[in-house]
Amino acid sequence: MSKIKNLKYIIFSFCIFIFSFCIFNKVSAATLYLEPKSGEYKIGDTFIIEARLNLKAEENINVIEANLKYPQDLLEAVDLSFGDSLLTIIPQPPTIDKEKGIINFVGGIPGGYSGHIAGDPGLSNLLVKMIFKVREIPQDQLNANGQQIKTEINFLDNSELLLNDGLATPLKPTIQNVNLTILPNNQVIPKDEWLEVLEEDKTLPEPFTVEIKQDSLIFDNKYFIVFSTTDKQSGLKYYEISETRDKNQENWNKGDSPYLLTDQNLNSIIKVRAVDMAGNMRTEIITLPQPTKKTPFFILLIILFALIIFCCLLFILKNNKINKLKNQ
Amino acid sequence: MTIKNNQNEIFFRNWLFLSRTFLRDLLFSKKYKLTIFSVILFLILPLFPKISQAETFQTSVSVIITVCGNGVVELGEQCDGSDLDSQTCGKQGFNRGNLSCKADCTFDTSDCISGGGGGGGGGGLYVPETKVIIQGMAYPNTDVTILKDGKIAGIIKADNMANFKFELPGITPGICSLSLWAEDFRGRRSPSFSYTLSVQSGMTTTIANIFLPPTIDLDKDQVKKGEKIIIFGQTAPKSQVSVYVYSSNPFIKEVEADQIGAYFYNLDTTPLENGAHSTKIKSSLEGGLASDFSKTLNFQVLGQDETSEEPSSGESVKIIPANLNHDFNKKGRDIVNFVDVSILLYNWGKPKNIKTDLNNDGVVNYQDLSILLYHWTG
Repeated sequence: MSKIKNLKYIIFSFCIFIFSFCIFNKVSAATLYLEPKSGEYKIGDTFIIEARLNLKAEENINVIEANLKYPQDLLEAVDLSFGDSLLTIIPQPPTIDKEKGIINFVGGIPGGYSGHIAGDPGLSNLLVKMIFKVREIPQDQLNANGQQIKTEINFLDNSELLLNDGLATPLKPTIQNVNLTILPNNQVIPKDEWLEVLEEDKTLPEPFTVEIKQDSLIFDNKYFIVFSTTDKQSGLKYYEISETRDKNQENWNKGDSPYLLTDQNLNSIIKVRAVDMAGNMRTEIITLPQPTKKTPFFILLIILFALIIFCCLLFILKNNKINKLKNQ
Repeated sequence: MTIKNNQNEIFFRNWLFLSRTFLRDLLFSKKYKLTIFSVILFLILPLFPKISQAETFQTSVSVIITVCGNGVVELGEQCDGSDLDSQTCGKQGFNRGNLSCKADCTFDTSDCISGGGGGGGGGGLYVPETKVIIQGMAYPNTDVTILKDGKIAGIIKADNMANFKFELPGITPGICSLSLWAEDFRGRRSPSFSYTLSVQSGMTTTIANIFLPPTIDLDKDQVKKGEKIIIFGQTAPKSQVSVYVYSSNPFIKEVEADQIGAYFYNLDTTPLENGAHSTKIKSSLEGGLASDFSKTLNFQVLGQDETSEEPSSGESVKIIPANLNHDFNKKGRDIVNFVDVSILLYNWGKPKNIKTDLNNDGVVNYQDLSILLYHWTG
């Protein structure tokens, strides 16, 4: 019996020994956290939870993949906004799995993100704003929980940061979650934080350029366009592209970069419109050069030129004949 | 009262007995000794130097942000709003008057009066705009490329002391991501550095004390033990250059850059063991300005009976894999920008073209995006 007890103590001590090395040699100070850290929301309220990132001084990351879990029976995930986000490249649209209550987003930043700079008046560490709405919860459920339900939104352990080192080295962040309290709605009109943001946003998305490209690695070497912009307020919602011959006509289709051009002859006027969540739009236009057409004037010129040459030849021949006759 | 005092005394005696027993067991019992040892280790281990390469040498960078228009005099400002930094017309060389501050955080002496009458300078209506100023040091007489939100915003030439200053007017207030990189006099590129900051409406935000890390190159990447490797590159003139060499016993050597910022260090490989090693550089100047680390270069120390492969310069002339569409600028340098991202996105998931799988793991995903973004040029 004493041998078993001794063994237990040895195992326990060994675990503390190993644990010491583990936490003091591999832990990163990079922290993924949610703001506000706690909140009370009533049924029907629409509110915003911000995902943010803190880094240690010598850490520099350029890609993040985040997965979050939310209580899908209590909350509806309405949308995600990258407005004013430090992430400037969103390779894939974020996904909301409403059945499992999981949100996924991936974003990148060229040159990387190194954390807060001394003297910066703002936090500058916003990743994404998540808009949630409190569902209609049966009164029985509220009654059973003392007129309030406590829940949380949390990052999942498979959330990952990648270092800006050319090797995509992963960095495991520390995670901080948010606690929510759901209350019955005694008000007539629920609060809508997101609507307030949309109403305040009167600023267009940032200016951008549209480039026409062609490459064997994409679209079977056909012409395509590349474009990218950001929005500093409510965030981009979608892009639209129009290809028409007539500059006064528009034929808008939703699309993303890279976008395969319908008119592979490059005869069209191409317009790309960035639309933000508040409906503000910025349009950029490319007018492509028209192909050279043989106009009637051009044909006339050729005929005239040919006539002149013909006349010159005739004149020379005639002169030669006269000279020959004179010599005879 | 007496009963309570007795109870307290009993409690105290019990507590003393238990503590004594516990301590005696802790110190003298075999089965507790391992536990004690582990707990002590747990408490003192943070004091030991950490063994990972990235944490052996601490870096310090001195970039700061100042905001003109926030009412606080900061570095590089004469005044800010009502904060005149205790200055008056008298201290500015006038007899009397009211000193004020212009919207660009310089003194407005238009209301100052000197003995001969009339104030000097100032005047005119200044409408504050939202602006960002970036200033720092790179390499003498070389181009510094500035990117805003991943796109080239401008290229500025550093002066012969490696100083540069760039203004970005008309910025939309909010989060702004600025990146910088430079090429030295031999076309070697510095790493890109990004600064993400909050730009306030109607204010001028200055990012100062930027010091781009030195460029680095090796004359060879494989040597026999005992031979020398030259580590060289460029930084700001007269910088103190710290050469970090990573091996089983990492060490640091100091050299000084010359008046054009060129430095070199002859690394004697005699004390290094056979095998792979790496090196990187950082610079510092008097006054505390310090750069971050340069790129890390690898080299091999071979035994006497080992043969080296065909020597290659540390400077790469190959197309970098992240330049997916093989486009180059006027100087023949790779361009990695949104076009390459587009090609990557087209091949997202199972790649249609294996060239887009930058880490060769059979799938194009955010790890390949990370590698591409590292090589970003805009």
